[in-house]
Amino acid sequence: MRKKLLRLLRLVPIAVAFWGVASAQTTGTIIGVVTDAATGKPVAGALVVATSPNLQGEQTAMTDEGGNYRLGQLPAGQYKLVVQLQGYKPAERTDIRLSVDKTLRANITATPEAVQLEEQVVRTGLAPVVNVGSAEAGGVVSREFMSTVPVGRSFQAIAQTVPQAAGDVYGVGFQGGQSPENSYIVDGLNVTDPVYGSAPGTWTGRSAPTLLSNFIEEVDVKTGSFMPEYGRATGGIINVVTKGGSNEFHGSVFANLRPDSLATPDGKIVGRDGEAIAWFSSPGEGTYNLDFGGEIGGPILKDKLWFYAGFAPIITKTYYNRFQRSNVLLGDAGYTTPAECSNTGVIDANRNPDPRCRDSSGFALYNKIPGSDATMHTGQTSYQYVGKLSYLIDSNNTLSVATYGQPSTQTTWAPLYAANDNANVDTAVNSFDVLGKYTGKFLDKHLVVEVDAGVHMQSIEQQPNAYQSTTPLISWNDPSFYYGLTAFESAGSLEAACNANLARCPIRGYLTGGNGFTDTNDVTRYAGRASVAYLFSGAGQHNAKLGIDLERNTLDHTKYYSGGYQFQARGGNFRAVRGYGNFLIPATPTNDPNEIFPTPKVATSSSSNNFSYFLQDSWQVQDTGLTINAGIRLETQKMEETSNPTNTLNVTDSWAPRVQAIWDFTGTGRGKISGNWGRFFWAVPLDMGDRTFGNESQIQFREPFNPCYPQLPQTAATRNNPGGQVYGTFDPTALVGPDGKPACATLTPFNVGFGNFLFNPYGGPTPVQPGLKASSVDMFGGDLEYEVVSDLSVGFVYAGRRQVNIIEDMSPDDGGHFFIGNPGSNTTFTYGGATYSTTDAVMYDSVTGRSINVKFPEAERSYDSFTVKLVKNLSKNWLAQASYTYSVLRGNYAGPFMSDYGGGTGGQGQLDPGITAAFDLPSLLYNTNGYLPGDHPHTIKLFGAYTWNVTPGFNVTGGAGYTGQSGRPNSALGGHDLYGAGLAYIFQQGFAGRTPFTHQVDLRAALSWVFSAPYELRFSIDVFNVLNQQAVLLYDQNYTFDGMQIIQKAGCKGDFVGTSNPVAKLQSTCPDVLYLKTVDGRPIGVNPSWGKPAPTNISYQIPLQLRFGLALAF
Amino acid sequence: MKTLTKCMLAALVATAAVGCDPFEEAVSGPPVVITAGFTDTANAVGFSATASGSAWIVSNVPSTCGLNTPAVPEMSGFIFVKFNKLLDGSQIQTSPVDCTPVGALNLAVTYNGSATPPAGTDWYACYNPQAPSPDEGASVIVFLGDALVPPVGWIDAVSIPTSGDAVTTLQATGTAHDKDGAAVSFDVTANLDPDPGVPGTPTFTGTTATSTTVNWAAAECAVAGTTEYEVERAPDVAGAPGTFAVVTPAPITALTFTDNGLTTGTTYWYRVTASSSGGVSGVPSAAASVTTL
Repeated sequence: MRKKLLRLLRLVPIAVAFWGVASAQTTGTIIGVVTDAATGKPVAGALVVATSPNLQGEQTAMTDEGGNYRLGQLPAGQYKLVVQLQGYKPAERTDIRLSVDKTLRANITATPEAVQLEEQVVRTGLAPVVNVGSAEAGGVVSREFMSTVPVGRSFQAIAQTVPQAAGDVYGVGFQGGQSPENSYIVDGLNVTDPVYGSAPGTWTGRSAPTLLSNFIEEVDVKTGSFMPEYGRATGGIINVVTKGGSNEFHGSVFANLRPDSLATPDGKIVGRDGEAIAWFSSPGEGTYNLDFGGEIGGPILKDKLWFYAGFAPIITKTYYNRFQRSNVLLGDAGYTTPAECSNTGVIDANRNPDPRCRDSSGFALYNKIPGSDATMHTGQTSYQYVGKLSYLIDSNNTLSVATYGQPSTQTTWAPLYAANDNANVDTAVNSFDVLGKYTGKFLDKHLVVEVDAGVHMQSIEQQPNAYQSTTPLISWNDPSFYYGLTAFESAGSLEAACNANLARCPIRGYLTGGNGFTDTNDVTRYAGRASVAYLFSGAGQHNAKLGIDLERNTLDHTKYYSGGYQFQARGGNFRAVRGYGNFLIPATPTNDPNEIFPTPKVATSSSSNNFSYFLQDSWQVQDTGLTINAGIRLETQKMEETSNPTNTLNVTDSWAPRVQAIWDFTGTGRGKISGNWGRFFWAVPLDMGDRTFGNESQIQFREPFNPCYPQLPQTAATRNNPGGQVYGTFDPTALVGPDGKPACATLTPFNVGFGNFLFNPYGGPTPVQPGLKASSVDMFGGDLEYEVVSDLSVGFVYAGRRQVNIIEDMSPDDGGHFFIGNPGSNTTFTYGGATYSTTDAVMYDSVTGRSINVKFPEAERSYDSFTVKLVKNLSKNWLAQASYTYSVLRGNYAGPFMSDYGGGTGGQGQLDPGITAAFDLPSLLYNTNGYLPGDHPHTIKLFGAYTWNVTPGFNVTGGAGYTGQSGRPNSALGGHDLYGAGLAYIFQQGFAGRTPFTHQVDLRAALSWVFSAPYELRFSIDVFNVLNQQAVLLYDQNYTFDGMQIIQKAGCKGDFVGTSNPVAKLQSTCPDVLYLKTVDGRPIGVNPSWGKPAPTNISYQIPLQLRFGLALAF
Repeated sequence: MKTLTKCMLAALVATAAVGCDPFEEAVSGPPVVITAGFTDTANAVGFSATASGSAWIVSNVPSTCGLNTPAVPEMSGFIFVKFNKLLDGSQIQTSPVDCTPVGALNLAVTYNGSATPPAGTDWYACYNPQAPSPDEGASVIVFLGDALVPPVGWIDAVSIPTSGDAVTTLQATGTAHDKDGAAVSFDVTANLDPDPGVPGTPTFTGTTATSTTVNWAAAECAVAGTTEYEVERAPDVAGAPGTFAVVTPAPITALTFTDNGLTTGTTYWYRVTASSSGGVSGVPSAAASVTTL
């Protein structure tokens, strides 16, 4: 039967080669022309019938006068098309793999009954390779790819396999954009975190797993240049479609275990170079990552009502070993001369010659203190569930309901915390989504109506214990000197090893006390979409679509600092660097704590209405091979906080035109040239409304060590004296009185010599510039793609991006007042009696005592890339994907998060979309224009898999993946008196060298055995990072922790970081840094760890890992 | 395949274009002084200089009486010279960490015309490559420090003694070199105004229906017989002084003044301002009131 049919039908070889404009987010479309095999003319009135295991019933279409047919709203999956017409032999093809949000062209040639043809071999299994219908950038990651190539289990990991995608701390970013600029869509529902814009669950330090690949049908990754029905994103679109039911019962039970405790070697030792506390990941103590669960889908009513359900607990536990160490010093036995000691005489932060000895790589030599090992862990338990019901009302109307959720609990750990139970804090992180969807076809299927409505909910609740929630957190972090570790810890042989010598066991940034910032929040997004698509002819085929896309996001947030404030022990004071409250400041401040009015807890309630409207058309120009896609989208956003409804972010004029042209220059679908241009707007997440429109008012004040806390030594000489004061025993509750006011009777002036005594940087609501423009990016590019041999295409792609506007908070007076605006947009306004300008600012030059007029620069972020790619879709048992991208990312604006603020010591950048510190202070806005942290010039990605059919029921699959990437640019950063470390670029951003090129090789082997049809047993082993490469990913970028100004036009450029002595190399190449002074004129203290691996858990590549997978499927 | 070749060539061109370094920049030309001035660190105020030929002169920098005990007229601050570009720091500051005595460098400082610094002190210079404004490149900072305890920076400056009556002149001259060896000489003069201090609050003797004698204690840093005083009088407005007007026909050196021609039974307010013989005025005294008989 099959052979006969094949003989009767001649399929156009490259028939399935047309990808058109998106017609829906969760389904695809098949279009084509039916022609007469004898005459080559179009055939009108032919019936085309589509069937698929993923399609309820069948979908039919009739060809028009031009022989065109169109089958829309088809779920992704394998399709069979049959053409029926009186006088013609039935024609069929079965090789169509339809992907979500793609339009396939399947041209079919029908043979008249009268014509006798020689039997010919029909080319089947021609997976579409060249994407001749769209200029959209990106790619679809199919189930086949996910199940044969070694990739992570989350859709974030899956999306990284696409060219121009690169991982960042909060997910995956595209074309130089950052992950919080993406839209994350699951089954058509926007599940992007409404508060920070990142992937769902990946909040600051609170990463929860995303949907497991077992529940995913397909991931459509749009890295740029998407059509107007997508919006609110200046990054990319990650469009995930979950599995659904079918007419037969299918399902699986599965388990995946990453037994790091058995296979993974210990991680590299992490800790600030030459300091006394260090740690490393210690998988042998019991680290593992386990997910297990089941899924089932099938019919409730055949061809009418289908269901799909899945459930999987996910449990991870990660163990660390924390230990104490003492430095080897010049003069120790065997290190008596500077040569033996490799002592380079670097001046340390205390402005003394550094007596520490170093190894040949420049790392400080140390002795581990016996008995100091402590095992710590972080962990997470999540329960992931998915459910879906699909109902076919009739052949033209469908209805579906889907839900996903993930209650989780997490435990976190701070390494520089006292080694006791207070270092661990639990957090509950929950998410829940529900979505309903209706699709109807009218006017003989020429009019398609789609309506979606859904709710996304997420919540976070930190659960500190009583001590953690009521005790202030103290960071013992004086930039001008080290503390001795014996001031905090004394167990075991520490005292003897440190021997009352500060240089033996120095430490900075030690934490004692409670949890610090603690919060609880509830987030809800109500989302509704409706669209009408109309298909018509006019100099070709048109698919015009008009739609609205409405969202309302709300955030209820309760937050506090444990014990009222977070303190920094610094310069003879406890400086309250964080805390909520207000000041009553008299004309002449009296330094009286009674001028402070604390706010023990801040509760905010913010909301954002994001409304969008779009109109687009895809026009296949008659007889030219040319497709023109054009459209426009209008986005509006209104964000407010309930306590201050008059001060809102209200943008109503974000018009986003987009246009694409695609020309199939071969005329046979074997190649294309395309170009595109579009403007893309970003919706600001709710964090801005929460933090700046509400009643959050942060205050800073300083309580002197003495006379308030006489048990603390007060001179610089004795503060850090090992064997003297034991700060670890200091009771932080003594800092705050029962009324929440500072316990000390007299506070100290804030800035000695200059400035005021109390600081209220975030007092009151932050005004918004009138006429504010939304943050936007222009994307443009072009590509040439050619199918070199069957199934294998080579492409050349240029993609460019230019930032148009950004929204940031700025201070026109260098830290006194703040407002939200478009930097450099030349607008002046008044609010509350103060004048604000988005261009002109005044700063204070602490050296000359003058006020200086300066300008806010316009934000710049420019991305250019050139990609060569090769794609081999799955056929003949193998698939492959290879790409090389050369790119440049430069400017002064990295995106919604600042990777470098903090200098890499915190491990994660400041994620405060629209209100980062990037444009806050005019005095620090120089030298910011350079290579941005996301700049990775060379990226190579290679993936491939092959399946051997050993016996009909037994398959073996081997897969491999390689990702090689240039390291990120590094800078030399200085501190700011109020903002802390890592905000001032001492010289040009990104000019201090790069982290090393990283290589990641992953392998996968899988066995599949159908032991009793349809039951199939699958077993797989993945080896990640086979070469166990542990290259450095993050260097410490803090050249100094002191408040300082920057050097203009220093011309410093070189590969300093990562060398054996980065500080010395920088100082010899660029002698100006030797003369750097603090803002009040003292020489700065240099951080000897600058340019060495940062003390964070993400400073090195993850070591080799094994993952075992076992599944029983039917 | 011809198409492919063309595309490869286009790709190479595109790669070269995006590979160009857009951040290469340098400030060419010889160094130029763009501004100079004096910063009063005690009061966190800067005073700009005006260019006079090749020299820069900053005038009317008010010194302070009572900055330290015992009270002498003095000035806590430093001279700064700002350049348009980075300089060779080693030409100005031999040690990169500490500020260096100017005598060891190609700088000279005169204090009221004398190259000898006040006893127990020394003039120091610092190089500061930092610049808060994009059109300023670096600065040289000259200040007075303790000769026995060399300063680590200008935060350790000691006060410059000035006069209670005569303008004190501070002049710093030198030559700065940029990285290419190109030189620029600079010459900054700061005129520190005398601060006689605040006279004592007026007291009154011999008050009649139409006159009163105003008396005051000498200003703290006054020079007896040289420092001049002016007496001001104001009408009483609801128990507070109205607008003050000078009643002394000319500045006087005496510590007493009789004001005639007053109205019977009326309250008047008086205050006294000390000034140098050169006419530089200090801060007025507190006001006190008297009622005629």
